[in-house]
Amino acid sequence: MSGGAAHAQVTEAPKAALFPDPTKFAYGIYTQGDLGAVTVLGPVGSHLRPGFALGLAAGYDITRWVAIEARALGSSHITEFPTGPQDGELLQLYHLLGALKFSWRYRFLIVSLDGTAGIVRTSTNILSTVGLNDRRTSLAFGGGLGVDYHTLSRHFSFGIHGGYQQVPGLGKSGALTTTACVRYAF
Amino acid sequence: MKRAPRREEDGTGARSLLAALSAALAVAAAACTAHEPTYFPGAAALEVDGQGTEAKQTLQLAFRPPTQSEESERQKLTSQLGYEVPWLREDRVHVEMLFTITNLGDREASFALNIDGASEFVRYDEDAVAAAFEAEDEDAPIAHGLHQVPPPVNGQLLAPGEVYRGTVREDDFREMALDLDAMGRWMAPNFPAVLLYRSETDPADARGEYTTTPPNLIRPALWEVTPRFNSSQAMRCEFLVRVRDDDRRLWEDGETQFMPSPTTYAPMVPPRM
Repeated sequence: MSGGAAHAQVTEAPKAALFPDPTKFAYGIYTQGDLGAVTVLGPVGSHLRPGFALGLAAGYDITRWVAIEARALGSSHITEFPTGPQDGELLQLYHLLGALKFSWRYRFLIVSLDGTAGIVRTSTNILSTVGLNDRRTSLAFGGGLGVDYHTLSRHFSFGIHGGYQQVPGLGKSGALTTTACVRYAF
Repeated sequence: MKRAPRREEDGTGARSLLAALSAALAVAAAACTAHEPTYFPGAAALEVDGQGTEAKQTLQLAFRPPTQSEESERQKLTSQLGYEVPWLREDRVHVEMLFTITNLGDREASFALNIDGASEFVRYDEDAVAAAFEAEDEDAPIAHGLHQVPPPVNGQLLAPGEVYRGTVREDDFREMALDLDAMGRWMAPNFPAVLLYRSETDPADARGEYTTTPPNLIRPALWEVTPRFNSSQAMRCEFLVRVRDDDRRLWEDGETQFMPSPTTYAPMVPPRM
C-alpha cells in the first residue's frame, strides 16, 4: 500500500504561553500569616497609639476568584491620656473576622478585594474608665484590598494588604490594618 | 473548571495543619486573656482647695463570692491550717494604683497622698487610729495611712499647672496587705514599726515585727482602697486601681458581689506611765 507524502503547514504562529500560568498555582485550602500595624481612627484614635499587629488566617478558595476566610489578628497599643492616670497602659485589640474574598489573578499578580464581619475585643476595660466604650467586645465590619505576588513555587505568595473595620462599640471608631503577609496554598 | 492537580495526602496534611493552627490560636488567645488587668476608676477626682481639708474616697473592688465548692475548699483549708483562710489571697490578687496630681493653684507646692484600705477581715482607717489615741488622751505615734506615697523626686514642688504622675505598685500593696494582717488579725504589738518597716528590704528587722504571724501565712489581699489627699495649694488627684486576678475571682456582669464586713482596726493604746 502506498500513499502520497503528508504535508503539514503552519498557518499561524502559536500563541505565546502565559508564564507563569496562574492555573498551575495551587489553590483550595490555604493559610496566611500577617505582620503589620493597626491604627485606630475616630474618637478612640487620639487615645491609642498605632500598634504592631500579628495575624493568622485560614481560608478556602471556592473557585480561583472567590474564597472564604477566617482571620484572627491581634494588635498591641499604648494608651495616651496626657493628664489622666490611664496614660501609658498597654491595650491589645483582638480581631476575629470572617471574610468573603474576590481575587483577580494574572501571571504573578493577585489583586483581591474582601468584605469582612466579626468582632473586635479589647484586652482590658481601660477605655471604659474614661467612657470611651461600655463593652469590651464589639461587632465589626468593613473591607480590604490586597496585592500579592506569587512565587514560582506552586504554594507560596507574598503580599501587602490593607483593611478597615468599623467598630461601633469601640467609641464609634475604626481600625485601619496594614500588613505584609505570606500565604501558603495546599 | 479544572483544579491544579494535587496529591491525595495533601488533604490530610492540610487538615492536620489547620487543626494545629486552630489549637495554637486557642492557646494564644487563652494566654493573652489569663493575666489581663481590670481597672477600677475612682468615682470622682480628689480635689482640695489648699485650705487644709483633706479629700478622700473609698473604692471597693468588685469580686464575686466563692461558689459552693470553692467555699468548702476554703473551709477545708481553714480547718487544716487552724486560721481563717481568705477568699481573696494576697498572692493571687495583685493590686496597683495609678494616679496623676495636677497643681491647680498659682504657687508651687507639694502634696500628701496616703492610702488606707481593707482586707476582707480588717480595715485600716487613719482617723479611727487617731481617735483611739485621742480617747486615751494620747498623741498617735504615727500619723499616716497604711502607705504613704513618697513625694516627687528630691522633694521637688509641683509648679502651677504641672502634672505629676505616679504609681503605688503591686509590691507596695503587698506590703500593705502584710502590715494590715499583722496588725489587725495577729495583733502585732508595735504597730508603728509594722507600718514603717518595709519587710522585703529589711527582713531581719521586719521579722521582729511579725513574730505573732504564723509562718507561710496565706494573707488576704486588699479589697478596699481609700486614697487620702491633701495639699497647701488647690490640687486635683485622679486615680485608677488596676487589679490582676490569677483565679478569675473578679466580678462580672450578672453575678452577685462579694461584700465582706471587715472590722476596723483599733490599736491598743499603752497606758500612760
